[in-house]
Amino acid sequence: MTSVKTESSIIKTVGLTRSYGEICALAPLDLQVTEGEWLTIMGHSGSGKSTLLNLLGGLDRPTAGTLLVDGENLLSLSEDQLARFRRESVGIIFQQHHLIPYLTSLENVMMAQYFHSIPDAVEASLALEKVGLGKRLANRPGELSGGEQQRVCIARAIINNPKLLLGDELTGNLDHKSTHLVMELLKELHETERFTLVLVTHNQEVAGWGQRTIFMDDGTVVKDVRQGRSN
Amino acid sequence: MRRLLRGFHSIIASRAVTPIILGCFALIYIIIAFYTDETLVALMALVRSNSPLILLLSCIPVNLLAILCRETAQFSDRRHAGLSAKGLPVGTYQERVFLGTVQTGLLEKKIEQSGYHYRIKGDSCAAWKGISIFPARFLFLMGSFCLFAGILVSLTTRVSLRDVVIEGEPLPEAVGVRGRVEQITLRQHNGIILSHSLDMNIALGEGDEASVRKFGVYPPGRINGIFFYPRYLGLAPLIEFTPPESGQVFSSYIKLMIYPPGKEDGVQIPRSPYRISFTIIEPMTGAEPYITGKFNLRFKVLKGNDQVSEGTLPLGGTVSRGGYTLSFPDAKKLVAVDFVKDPGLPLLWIAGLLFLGAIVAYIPIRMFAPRREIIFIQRNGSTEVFSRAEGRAAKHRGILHNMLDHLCQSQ
Amino acid sequence: MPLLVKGLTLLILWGVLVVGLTRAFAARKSALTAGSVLGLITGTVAGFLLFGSFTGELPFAIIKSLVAVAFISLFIVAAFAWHKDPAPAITVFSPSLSDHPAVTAMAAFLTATVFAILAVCRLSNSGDNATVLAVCFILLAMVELWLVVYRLEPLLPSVLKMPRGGLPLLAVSLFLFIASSSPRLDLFSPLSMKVMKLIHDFVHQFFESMLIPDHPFFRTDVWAYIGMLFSNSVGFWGGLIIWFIPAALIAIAVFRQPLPSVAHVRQAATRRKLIAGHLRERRCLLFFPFFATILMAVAVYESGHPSVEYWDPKPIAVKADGAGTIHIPVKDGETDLKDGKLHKYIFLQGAKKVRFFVLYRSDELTVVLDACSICQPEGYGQSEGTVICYYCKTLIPLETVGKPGGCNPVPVSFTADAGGVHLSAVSLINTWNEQVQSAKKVPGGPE
Repeated sequence: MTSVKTESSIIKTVGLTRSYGEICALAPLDLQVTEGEWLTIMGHSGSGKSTLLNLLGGLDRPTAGTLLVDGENLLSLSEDQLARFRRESVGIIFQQHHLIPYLTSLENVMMAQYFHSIPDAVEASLALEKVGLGKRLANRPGELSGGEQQRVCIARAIINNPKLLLGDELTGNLDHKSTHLVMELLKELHETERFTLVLVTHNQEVAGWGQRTIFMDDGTVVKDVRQGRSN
Repeated sequence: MRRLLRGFHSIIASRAVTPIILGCFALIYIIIAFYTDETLVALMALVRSNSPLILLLSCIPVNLLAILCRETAQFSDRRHAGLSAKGLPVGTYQERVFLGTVQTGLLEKKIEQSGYHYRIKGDSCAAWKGISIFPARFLFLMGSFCLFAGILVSLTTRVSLRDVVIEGEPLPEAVGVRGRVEQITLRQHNGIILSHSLDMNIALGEGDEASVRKFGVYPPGRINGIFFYPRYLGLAPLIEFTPPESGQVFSSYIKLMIYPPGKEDGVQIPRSPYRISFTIIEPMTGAEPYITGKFNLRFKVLKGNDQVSEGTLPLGGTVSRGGYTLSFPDAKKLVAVDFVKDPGLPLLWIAGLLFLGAIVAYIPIRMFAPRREIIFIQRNGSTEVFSRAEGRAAKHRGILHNMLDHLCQSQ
Repeated sequence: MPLLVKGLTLLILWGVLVVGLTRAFAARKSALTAGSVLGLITGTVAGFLLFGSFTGELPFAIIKSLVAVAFISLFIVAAFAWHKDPAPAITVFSPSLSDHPAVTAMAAFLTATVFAILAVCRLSNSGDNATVLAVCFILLAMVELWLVVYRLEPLLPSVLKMPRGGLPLLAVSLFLFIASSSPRLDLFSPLSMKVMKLIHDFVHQFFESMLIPDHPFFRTDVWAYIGMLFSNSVGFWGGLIIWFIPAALIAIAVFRQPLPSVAHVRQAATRRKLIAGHLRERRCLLFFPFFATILMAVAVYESGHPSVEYWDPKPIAVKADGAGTIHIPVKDGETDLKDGKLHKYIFLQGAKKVRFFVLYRSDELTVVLDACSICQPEGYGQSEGTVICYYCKTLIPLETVGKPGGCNPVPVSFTADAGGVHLSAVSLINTWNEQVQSAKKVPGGPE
């Protein structure tokens, strides 16, 4: 596996906390992620891993603490600024895909371009070719397999050249073969596009693809492992 | 001197010249409109009689011709000088980018993947797709030239004379051709635009050398450069009128412009206070009298301002009323014809055809296969890229940018 | 319209104009303010002098000509704005030349002068104390100028910029909007009438020049379509096209300017972001042309629906005596022919109907048809020293009623004495038949 040399932190949290009333989903958390790193977040259900991911992606606001992503203090951003941050700096891939069912795969990718700036069919089709779906541009999500849908989501997530790519259980609905294909694709894109990748998973095999894994329990990080994957 | 010529050429071939001149004429039109309601006619008369204005108007076809020559030269330069940079009309390209050295093999592959044709010559490569709209532009400019040249010629040289041609009578002398109107026939015609056709059979020449030519409504016939432009139909009835106070009979063919039925015209009886006005009665059956030849006239006899008699009179009939006798033994058909000498007219027709051709050429090309070009010229360790698109510019721009991204990534 | 409402409307319009001036000349606020103040003073003085020195329709004709010249100049501005690469001399209407204080001051001066003249015209002729109100208005306008330039305009979004040709368009559209509320200043109605005449003449000349056959040879349905070109609506629609051409050209010129090239940027998302920014800037340039278009559209509406009430009495039926003469007494009950109002009559003979009216003007009576020889005979109304043709909305000064030509009502021969007015029924009918459009047998063809 290619080691990624980084010098700066793209993510830095200090005492990051998220509470829902009396329930503390995320205990004060200190975390640093270097630019270009592949981080996997593991933990059982309710450990706070998805909460952390949502905070990193600007989908949720912390209750306390400091959260710096790509030099932006997300706590100080207004709603409009947060929306701009999500559009320009972050790409998110969900387990449930959230593709628009009546649009083709090309149009789904162009939607992300539309909200970022302007749609560009040529660029979108090249992005889909990059993820191996060059011949499936005109197909709607219902006509694609789970793995193909997830690949459309990947194309959609990277089309605006985000610095940070987040994935929440993105192989959760896939079989073993599709999972392998998707992870191979992510690895290839991570090497060529050089974004920082943060994946949430409970799958040990998926975690093995990354460079670093943190284990969470009750909203805190209990273990932080740097690893390599042997191919 | 060369700079002066170049300056003169750039002025005469400027696209602003024609709109400026047309704007001047529009201003003159506006000023005239304050003084008369017949503004257009007054403007035409003013231009016709004013040499500076004629000179100004003549600048338009000259300008259009100069633009045509310049754009043809640019088109030719792009086609033939495109791979040498020297002579490439850089100003006609929309984008210009500098890159480092580009591998020819990779470039060919990217161009082919994008669906463009290409041609390589040395260190330069031209890629293109679609058909140029220049042929349509050429037709349009030629049509514009013919239009304004035709207007200029027509305005300054048109001579028109209106006279009547009557069945059985010789052609008017002003035509300058010896001939005789043999027959005038009006027929129903189920055309897309015209409902009637008119045939004027005219025997040209005399004696054994006479030949019969048919003149119709459209396109108008021509003899010795003079167009026969039929305007209105009429009737030349033979009228015999006898007033009660004198036994003298007024008998003559009179020319009446009383077609279509309902239109009124009249004749002043010479050396008398009488005036008779006529209208053709529309037949109940709807059959046109001009086609059937069966005319029924309604007449009114006026003595000064007083109406002294009125009635109806069929062809071949006689009416006596209140001492007045009116006979209608015969009638000849007549047509009021404009004899027009206008050398500019063919130019105007050609202009129409050229504009039609331009539209037919332009629309499908612009919609389905507009011209897009990219030129790569390598020199001194760098690559200069020129791009232009006559249509689908956004898509072409996207292809170009992605092509450049790939080429740069591989450098 | 109440005086106060007129004044408030004009103040609002002045505020809009100042915003436009400030956006066009953002770097030269002091020159702008100085030019505008001087223009307001000059325009006010000029306006009062005009109405003080001339009477009747002349001052209105002068002001109307001023607005007309501004409207025609707008076409020249639009033509320059349309040209993609104007020479430096041509950028005189471009914001890029706003850096020169003399140009700024001159533009502001001219705009404010015309505005002030129009304001004085609208306010000072509106009744008692109107002069005082006009002066108060001008003073308030100066205060508003300072407020808008130095306090309010900086609060507006910076994306609202003035495109090339936008300032003249905004100014002229405001002038046209103000002018359209008075039939004496309105430009659209005479424009549509002239356009109608132009189209009639052009079609006629085109047919003649191209030797196209006349209507007897045409199919009726085809000729009906050609006949549409001779209808009233063709003048309206043609006038509308001409009315909006400058605004359309200036708006389209915004899109004709090529976007800055982003081909040198190698990152696709960054390129798209740059293009999106350029497109957004370009869209914002349309704000002022769009606003000007709305103003011109409202001006068209006001032109067609003037708030002036016209004196238009119901025609009184008259008969001819045994000798065929119609007699109308000078005084008959409450009717007095010499009261300065038009008096309408209708003469019926069989199926023939002839409308005419009698008017006392310039110390004498005149008798004219209630129709002219150009338009469809929809009749005339009287207001503010003029009669108006309902068909083409042309205003005819009372002094010229009785003289032939143009859209003037057709004069009728008559005699007048102490007893009244006398005219021949035959002559009346013949004049109507020969002169009035609907009575002519063949529309657009031989007469």
